[in-house]
Amino acid sequence: MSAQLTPLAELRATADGLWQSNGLPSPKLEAWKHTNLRALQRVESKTGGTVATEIPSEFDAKIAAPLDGFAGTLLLVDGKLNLALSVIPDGLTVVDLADAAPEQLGTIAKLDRLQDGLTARNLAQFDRGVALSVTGHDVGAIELRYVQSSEDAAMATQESRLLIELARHAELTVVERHIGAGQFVNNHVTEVDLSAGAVLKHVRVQHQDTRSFHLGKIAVRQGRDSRYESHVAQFGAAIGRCDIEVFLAEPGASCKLDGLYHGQGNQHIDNHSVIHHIANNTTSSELYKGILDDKSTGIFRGNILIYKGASGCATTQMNRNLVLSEQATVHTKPQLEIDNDDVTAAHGATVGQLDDDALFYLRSRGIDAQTAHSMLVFAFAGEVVADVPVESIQTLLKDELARRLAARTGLTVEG
Amino acid sequence: MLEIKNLKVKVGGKDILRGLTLDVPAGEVHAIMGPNGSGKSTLSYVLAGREGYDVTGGEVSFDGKDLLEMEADERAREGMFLAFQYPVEVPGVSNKVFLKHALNSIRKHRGQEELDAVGFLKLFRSKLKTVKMDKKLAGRELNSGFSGGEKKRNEILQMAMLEPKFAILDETDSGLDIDALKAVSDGVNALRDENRGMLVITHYQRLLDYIVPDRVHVLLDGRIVKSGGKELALELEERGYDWIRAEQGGAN
Ligand SMILES: Nc1ncnc2c1ncn2[C@@H]1O[C@H](COP(=O)(O)OP(=O)(O)OP(=O)(O)O)[C@@H](O)[C@H]1O
Ligand SMILES: [Mg+2]
Repeated sequence: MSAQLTPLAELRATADGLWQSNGLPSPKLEAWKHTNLRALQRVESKTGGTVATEIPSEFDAKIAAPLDGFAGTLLLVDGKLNLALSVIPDGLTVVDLADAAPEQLGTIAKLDRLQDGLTARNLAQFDRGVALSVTGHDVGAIELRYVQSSEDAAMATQESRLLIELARHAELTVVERHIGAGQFVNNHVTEVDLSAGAVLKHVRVQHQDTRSFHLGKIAVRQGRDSRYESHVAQFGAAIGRCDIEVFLAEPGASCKLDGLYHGQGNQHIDNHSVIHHIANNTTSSELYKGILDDKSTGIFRGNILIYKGASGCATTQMNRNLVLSEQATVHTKPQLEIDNDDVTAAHGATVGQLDDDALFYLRSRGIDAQTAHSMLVFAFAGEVVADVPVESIQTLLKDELARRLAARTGLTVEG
Repeated sequence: MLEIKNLKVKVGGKDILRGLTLDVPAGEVHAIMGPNGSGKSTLSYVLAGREGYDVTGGEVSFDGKDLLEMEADERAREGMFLAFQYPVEVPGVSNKVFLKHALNSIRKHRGQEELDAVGFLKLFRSKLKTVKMDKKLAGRELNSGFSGGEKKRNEILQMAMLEPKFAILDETDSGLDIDALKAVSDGVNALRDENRGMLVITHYQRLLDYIVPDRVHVLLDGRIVKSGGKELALELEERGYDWIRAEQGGAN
């Protein structure tokens, strides 16, 4: 943990060196085997990868209307906090990273290991984002709404960061919604630090513009008996990549990682996760469900590492894929690496199509083919949607899925 | 109402129905009995519009319309209903939501107003009573984890809700206890009227004590080879099918 003592400036200089020498991750790296960033590179080279424009002083306030069930909403425009249009609930401390004093940044970069050029670039260049912390008890749910200042803006890259720190027994629900329109690159690193007994429910809804790029890294460190629940829903972006790395560092810590992704057109959606069972009696469960249509590609790669000496651990991991088109592609690689005997583990992956018998059954009751199709896709996704913490977000996910399926079939169904 | 003429069907290149002719007029209930593998379920699937069957000859007219020209869902909206021998489990789809979709698509087709949640629930509850089905069970995911008998009861619940013009019951009585058999028969009898036709496939004459048929047909090797009144069912139960095979052998 000597990194903790290193001044941030020094870390950022090191990161910059890494970025300069490594550049964007290439498919030669195992973790990037199926995801080629050439398209992103092409777009960035046209504009020199410049940082986004200034936030216009007047911004449509409608966009910040809070969803049901939320104690607060933070509006982030091009990745920058817009305080005027945000509502911050009692008990939540928010630091704007764009103008934070150096000592307020002290905890940044403690958790994410610099593994590739992208996270290095983020550390070297990030100039926006927020740090959230809670010291009391449950603050409720807050939404971080990421929008773009202008749809017509020239291609822009933004390096943003989010830090969430929960003190002992603090509880918080954070929903990140990335809904920016336009062509842009969102390189976003989230760090989560949970002290003993803290509980964080963390949702990411990625429905960025399909011309944009979403590159997201989430690094989580968990203290004793803490709980981390992640729900990642990826619907948007030309390339949507989300990496989660969880360190179950102290005994009794547990995490649950859920995912839902739906690819249409030429979308490329990539989900990676690594769970480190470092301490005794740590548990994890993971369920990712992918729906791949048209010429889309869906990737799941999950690594679970049970460390030597970490006894009494339990883990389950499952990736299920529903392939709706012959031209869609699925890559799935659930992986377990176990360094001791005292563990219960189950993992697997499935790739299937819609069940013809079920389709016929529904149709034999008068339901038309397209509605029957949508009902079965909904049924597939339902299990993960039902576990998402805030009801209005469940509704939002269902509506989004219905909208996307309707775009395919011209029809709507109720879940 | 349902006229099947010389129907020939192949499955996976194999002849299964080999010139089947059957006429069920409106207002009548006909029973089909026949040994395992004789083609009873194949007939019901072909009538319901399942994919994977090659119709190589014959025709089926339903209420004056060419049934085989229609997609499965069109047939259902036109009033055809099949109670499956093996109802399909559809996890993740709520039984109620499914039934509401089905009912409203059929009502829309009939030119009736679609039911809202309240109207639907009212009807749903009253039909649950008719088939004596548990409310909790009925609210679960469609057939998912249902026992064999529960699945059959759910088929009859669907039939009671959708009020089809013509119903095919493929061994709905198999695997039912006496109470369930009575409930299922009550559900079926409640639907009997002069505008409806029914085809009841069964192995047991027991069912026909509850649902008394107008005609009984024997399906053997893909053809109706013998027809008679309800006493034929009794005779089949006593004597099996060999004597009919023998008659057939003699006739050929
Ligand atoms: N998909 C299929 N591929 C090949 N053969 C099939 C297929 N479906 C049905 N068959 C065959 O067609 C024949 C008739 O089957 P069917 O299910 O119609 O019989 P059944 O009269 O309903 O029998 P049971 O009384 O056992 O329900 C059987 O020999 C069966 O093996
Ligand atoms: Mg059968």
